[in-house]
Amino acid sequence: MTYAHGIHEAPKTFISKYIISFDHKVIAKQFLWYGIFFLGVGGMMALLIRWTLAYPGEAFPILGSLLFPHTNGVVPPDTYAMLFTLHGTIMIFYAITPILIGAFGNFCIPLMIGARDMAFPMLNMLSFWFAFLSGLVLLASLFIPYGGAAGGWTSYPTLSTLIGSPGAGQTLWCLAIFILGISSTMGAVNYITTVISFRAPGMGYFDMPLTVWGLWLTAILNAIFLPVLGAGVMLLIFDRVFGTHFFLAGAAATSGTGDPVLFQHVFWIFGHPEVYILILPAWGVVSDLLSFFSRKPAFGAKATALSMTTITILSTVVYGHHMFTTQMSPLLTQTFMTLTMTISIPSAIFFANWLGTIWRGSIRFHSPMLFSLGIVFVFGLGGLTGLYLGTVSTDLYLHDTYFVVGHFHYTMAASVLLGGFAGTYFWFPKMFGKMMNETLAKIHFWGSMVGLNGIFFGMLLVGYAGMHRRLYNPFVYEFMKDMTSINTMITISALIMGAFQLVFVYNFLHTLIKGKPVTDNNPWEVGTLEWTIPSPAPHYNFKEIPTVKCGPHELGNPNLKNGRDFQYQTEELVEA
Amino acid sequence: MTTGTNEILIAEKERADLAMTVTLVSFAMLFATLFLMYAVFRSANPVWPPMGFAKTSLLLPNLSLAIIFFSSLFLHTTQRMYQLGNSRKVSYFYYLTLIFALAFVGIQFLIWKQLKLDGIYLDSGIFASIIYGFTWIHCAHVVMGFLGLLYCFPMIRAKYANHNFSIRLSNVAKFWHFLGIIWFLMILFIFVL
Repeated sequence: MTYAHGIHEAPKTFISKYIISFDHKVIAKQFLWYGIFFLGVGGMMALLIRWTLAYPGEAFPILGSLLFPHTNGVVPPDTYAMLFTLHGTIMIFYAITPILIGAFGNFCIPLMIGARDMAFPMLNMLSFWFAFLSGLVLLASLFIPYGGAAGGWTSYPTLSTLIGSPGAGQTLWCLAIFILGISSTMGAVNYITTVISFRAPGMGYFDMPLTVWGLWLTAILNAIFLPVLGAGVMLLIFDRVFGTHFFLAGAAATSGTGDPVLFQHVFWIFGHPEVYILILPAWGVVSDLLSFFSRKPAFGAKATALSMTTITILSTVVYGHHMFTTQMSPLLTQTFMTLTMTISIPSAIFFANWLGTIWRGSIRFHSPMLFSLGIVFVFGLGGLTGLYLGTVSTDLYLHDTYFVVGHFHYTMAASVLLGGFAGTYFWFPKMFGKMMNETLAKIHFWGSMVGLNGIFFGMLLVGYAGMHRRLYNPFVYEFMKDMTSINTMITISALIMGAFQLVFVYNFLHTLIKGKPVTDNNPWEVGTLEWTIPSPAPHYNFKEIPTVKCGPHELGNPNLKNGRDFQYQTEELVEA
Repeated sequence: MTTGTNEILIAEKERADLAMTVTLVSFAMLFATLFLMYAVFRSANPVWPPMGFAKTSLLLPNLSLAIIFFSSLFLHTTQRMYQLGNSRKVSYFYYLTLIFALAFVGIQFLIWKQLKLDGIYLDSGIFASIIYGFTWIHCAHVVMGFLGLLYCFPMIRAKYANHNFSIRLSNVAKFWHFLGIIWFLMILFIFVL
């Protein structure tokens, strides 16, 4: 294998170092900052939504009068629709995706497979700037007449056509998503090629850390399914801007008829794999961290990798469970339900493997481990509640209620967010050469766990009681009046959750600015390749391309000598 | 050329081939989605073209198909001539490819003009939406392909001074042939059947 790839000099100027850097580590940090910024924006929107549901008709404290002067600080109904639309869009596409895939993908893949950079460094740089452009377009939509998109993050026609969403906000939403799709596809091409071509000598696919497995499978899903959404939003733009009739039915389409439901098919053909696009990197990170901090080899690592692959494949054929209420034929609904249920099998395998990994381990409760254990808990809840939504009979009742919101927040938000935090605390020393404060990290964890469970479990409860997910003021309906107090509890939990994120922001910034450089290049004592080099990782990562001689989870072997309980991947395997 | 350098070139070629394959899978999914939608619209409408529309003339679409076929052929020949080391013919066939690519875009404009003359406007319903929408998207990709062809231009002028030329030309050619196949399918489904 030849490694004289993508040669680029160490950057010297500010612009070449931080703006148009080809270095995967710098691009990873750019994505991290970008994601954290949008996490703040999306989180703020969530608080506005929650305030409205807990205290309908009351002004949002402090910021309300600045943001909504015409309504004396009360969130107006049309703005509420815009808020839940953009909260979903921003959190999924502009916060989770850049952090988990953009930041950790860029940072971890080359370092963990023993490469000096991505296969195509310029493409990598372009990927970030396309994402940046997309973010600008989306934010710009907030400042135009009629405001941003308000048709829900799924943007179903006819809500998203000119009939439901006049103004340019929805068009800019489509454009932003299309541009972001180009960015993610560029990243996916790079990730797939890098993993296949640049693995260090001796590193077979099953010698790759599970983090890389998760990111690689995500990239494959991205490359295949993002263009599907791209086609859908492009035709939606045509409908909105040029007057075509792809998603218009009835009187609006006088000759031949468009089909609004077709957009839903296209959206979910992409949308269900998107769930796994978001969660696979977090699964990979957790699978590795549970082993590292239990000081044990990952239980059934190959089975975990294969389970993730199986889920990746199955995720492409289950999208119909999002559309049981669209008058789908019973034969189809039962087929999609059965296929959906089969996902439980590989999910149960790797979930059992997680438990097997920590079983009788010498667990070190450092912050990355706490967050990983948190994921095991919240993903368990998220996965189990999914069974009710994947079953036709129960979904017909629960569809479009807050139960759905609670379920997907447990899986896509809580799991992925905790995975993002676990990864940030874990790789921070390698990224920045400094160690975040452990006490603050643990406070952040426990506060977040209390907050997020209060929010999302509360959502499951009100959803089960029939509260619809997109009502501005659900309490005008008689049967929902009794749900005011539980909604207040959810909102207070959201405020707690938000407050504890400030601990993270303080810890992150304080460490970055005032933290002392780490003296130990391997503070967590693990053996994957990134921990064999100095912290922060130097330009070009490895002086010499390493040769891999064992797997990534060689921990706890009693025959190991020189006082270590782990071995580096570059060392000959010591038989247990 | 040393063995080491040769290995590097082979590895670069393999990486570029792999990346281009993944890229083409992505583009194929985009067009597959369009064809899926077409299948749904077509099966949902009992009469096709919908009432009030006549089938469009096949003259210009067929002409454009012939043009993109020949442009692909010329590009393939450019690659062959490069492998044979015939620099004069490399330039010759490359320029022919460029001319035919431009001609294809020109014919596209004629097709859209003809549609208007036939009374098929953008807002004339789903039949018109499909013809205009799909051909726009294809044409946008053709423009991208044309830019890819121009990307090879400096190397043609410099008589392939850069060893990356064959990789670049090969990837542009794959994309161009792919667009030819997509156009064939579009003609078949949208204009003929």
